[in-house]
Amino acid sequence: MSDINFVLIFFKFANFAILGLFLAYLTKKYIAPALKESLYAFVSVYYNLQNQYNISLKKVEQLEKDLVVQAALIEDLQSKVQQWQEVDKQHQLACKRHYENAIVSLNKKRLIQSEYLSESKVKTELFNEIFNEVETTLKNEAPDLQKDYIKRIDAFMTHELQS
Amino acid sequence: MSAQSMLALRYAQAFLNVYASTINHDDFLNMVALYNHLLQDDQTLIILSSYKLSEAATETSVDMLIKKFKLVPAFKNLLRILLEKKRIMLFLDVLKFIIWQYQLKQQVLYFEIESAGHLEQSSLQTIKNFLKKLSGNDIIYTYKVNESLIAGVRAKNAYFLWEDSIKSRLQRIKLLTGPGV
Repeated sequence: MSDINFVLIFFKFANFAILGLFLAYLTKKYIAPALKESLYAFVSVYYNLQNQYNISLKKVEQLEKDLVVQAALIEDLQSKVQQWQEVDKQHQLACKRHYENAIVSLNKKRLIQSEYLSESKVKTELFNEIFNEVETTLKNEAPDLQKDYIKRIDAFMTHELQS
Repeated sequence: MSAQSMLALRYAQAFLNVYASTINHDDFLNMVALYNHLLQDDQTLIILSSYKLSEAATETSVDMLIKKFKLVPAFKNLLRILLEKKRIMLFLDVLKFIIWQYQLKQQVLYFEIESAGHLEQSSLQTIKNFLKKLSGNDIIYTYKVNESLIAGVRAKNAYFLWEDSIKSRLQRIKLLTGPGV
């Protein structure tokens, strides 16, 4: 009985051994290469991804640097724009001041000129009026004036002739 | 002086060299009257210079002119020469120079005396004497009334002006105190 058991056990072990060898053979022949290939593929993909990640990382770093530079540029531009706006504002204020001064000056000149013109006009009109009136009066009195004039001229010339 | 004026001056000098002594003051005034007439109206010279006028007609026209203005007969010779030389249009210039040169040659001055009203002969004589004393030359004058003077007297010739009138005084006032001074 014990022998039978022993044989049974032996065959069982033998079965296990053959099965093991068979599995080993299968593993070595088919599973291991496939696993190895899958592993290589995985590793390759992993390295690719790792590489892309690194490149992306570098790109991100570069972009961050660019962003800093751009931010500095923008800040500089903003500062300049502010300066320009300030200058422009000052210029506009100066122009406005100049314009207002010019208007005031022009109005003053216009006022003076109009006053002068009206004064001059009044003077001319008054003078002409008075002058014409005097002339008319003198013309009306011409005969008497002529007598006086001739007397005076006669006296003057006689005096000059005697001297 | 233009060439035409130079030529006219030579005619005038030649005329006076020969005839100056025959011209008296009245003749001189007649020359002035003719000169003033020709200044106003030069038709007379244009007619005389016309080629269509016959010799007899020209002669008659010259005689009429001399008679009308009571010119000395010597003018007939002058006009005849100018007509012959076809320079009758120079006559006005010649007459002007005769009037100027006569005054220089005879040491007389011709004045136009104007007054606002009629002047007595005595007043005119006083003015004449006064002008004679002022200029140192004998005076020939014509006289006319000019009411635009208002009152006073004006005596003028080509070189001198003596005036004392209300018109001149008003003009002076206007110049010195009027608008625009």
